[in-house]
Amino acid sequence: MSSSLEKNMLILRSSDGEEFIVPEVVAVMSKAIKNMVEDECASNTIPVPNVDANILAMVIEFCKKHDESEAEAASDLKTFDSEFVNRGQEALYDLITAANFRDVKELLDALCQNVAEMIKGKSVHHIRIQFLGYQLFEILTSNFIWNIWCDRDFD
Amino acid sequence: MYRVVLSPWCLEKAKGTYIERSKLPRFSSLFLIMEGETSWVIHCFDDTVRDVGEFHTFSELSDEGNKDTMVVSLDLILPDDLLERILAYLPIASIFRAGCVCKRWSEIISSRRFLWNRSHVSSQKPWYFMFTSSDEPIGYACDPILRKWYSIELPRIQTSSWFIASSRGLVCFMDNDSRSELHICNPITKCCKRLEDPPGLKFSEYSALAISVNSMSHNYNVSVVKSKQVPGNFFQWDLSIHVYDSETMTWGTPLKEVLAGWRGGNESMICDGVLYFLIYSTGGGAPENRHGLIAYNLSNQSTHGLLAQNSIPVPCSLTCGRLMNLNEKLAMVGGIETRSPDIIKGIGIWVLNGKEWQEIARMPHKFFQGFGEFDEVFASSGANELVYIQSYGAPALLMFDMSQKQWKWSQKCPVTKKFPLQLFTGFCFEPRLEITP
Repeated sequence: MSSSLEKNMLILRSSDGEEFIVPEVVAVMSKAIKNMVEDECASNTIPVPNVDANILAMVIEFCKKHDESEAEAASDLKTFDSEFVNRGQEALYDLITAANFRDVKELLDALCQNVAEMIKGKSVHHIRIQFLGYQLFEILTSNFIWNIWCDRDFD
Repeated sequence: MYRVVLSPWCLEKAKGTYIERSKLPRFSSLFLIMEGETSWVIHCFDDTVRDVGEFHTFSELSDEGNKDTMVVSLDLILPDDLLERILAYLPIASIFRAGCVCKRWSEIISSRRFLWNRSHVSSQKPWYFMFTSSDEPIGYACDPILRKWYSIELPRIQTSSWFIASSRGLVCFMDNDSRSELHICNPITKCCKRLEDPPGLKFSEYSALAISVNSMSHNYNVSVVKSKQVPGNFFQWDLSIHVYDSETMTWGTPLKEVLAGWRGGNESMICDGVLYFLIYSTGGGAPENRHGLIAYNLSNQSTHGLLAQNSIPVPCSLTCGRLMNLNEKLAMVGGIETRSPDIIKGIGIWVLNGKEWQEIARMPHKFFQGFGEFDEVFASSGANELVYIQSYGAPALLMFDMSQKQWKWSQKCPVTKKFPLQLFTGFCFEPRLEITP
């Protein structure tokens, strides 16, 4: 069934209502969409809730590239991946959430690896500031922390 | 009590940023106790981080102009399973640090699921543990990913001369003096276990130790090849192979044979279910034929005729020949001798294909010279795709990456030479959290 549909187009609708027309082969790189298509519970327009147009466009770009370049050299794809995931933290987390929700394994792996690269080699202090929004907390509660440190009896 | 072993922790402590000292011992004893007894300090910490996070987004609403200062908290946005996925990509030293960041991260990295996932995500580059041949069991481990050295104390090494073998995170030590005391440990988690003594001859003249861990089941085999001269006969040597199976927790002796004109040595390796060991000619002969390699299949344990007749010749006249398992292919590193033995003109790396050795690399001249006083003895050790070579006379450490065909010096080692005849040695092991002897 699904193979006869190949090269057909699907319409993906983002959470904020924008529509993207993508070849089905690209869309089904998301396992979640693939399941919908296979179960025939999808009409031509597939709603993609929780993912806004901006992020959805990025996910589609990634899937397209991976679909086209299946025959291409793996190293090319690697360069593309590393450039693709090189974004600000906010976009990265949105992408991770989207990739997870839509179940796009290649994208999720590339993104997670990239965040790990950012964490790698950093001090605990630095990690807290960069990834936990720790700066403000530290200023506001430095007294509080010191109380804990001083009260604590280290065995 | 356990000790704080990895220096990153110590550094954090020095800066005053690490959270709680009592966390570390539990951590290093493989985390399982931690469930249900996390401390209140960490708890407070974590809750406050969350509260402030919410407060932060709130303040951002009233303060539109100030968007640059907003830090997106990874912790608030991502659910546990995604955070777990990310942390699983970290090299091992960074994982320890991540465990000090907050309670949630610490819980994630101590979960069994995390350990299991991690063992499938990344293949670790092996670390090289270097120590000086004194009686102190203290040394430094070189981490090729973060390019750092960590001070590590190995458990249970009472004397400096031990036979050492490693495979997938486990390191096996055998006492050089009695050749019967055997310990297996994971140098990262410090889990250690003494094995029953191997059967057969005590005080054999030569013994070769090897270990092989099954990547799926985590069972392991330890093999010892013992050789002893037949009394009153200079030509014949008794050779026996002893194999320990962790599943049945017993030793077996699948093979005993008398070699004529050859003896066993101290070098062996298990690759893909086959035990390989070097044999040495006892009676003169041409220099190319001084060494041979024997392959013994551990799974079917069948031999076709005498071992020495099936030996594979080494590619050239070698000194310091060492065997290693590089992604389940047997590799050998050795010094290539000139016409007069004891002087080497280079160091080569070969891989065994079937019964043929294929030279895959030779140390470039500038690195070869870089060893300084090269007393034609050196240690080499390797795993996965990395080969380490180190002169006994100096703490310089050279790495060869098989996948990139690249030679590289390690960062300068913190071990320094204190007196002229001080010797250095070492071995490599994979840093792994999930494996226990």
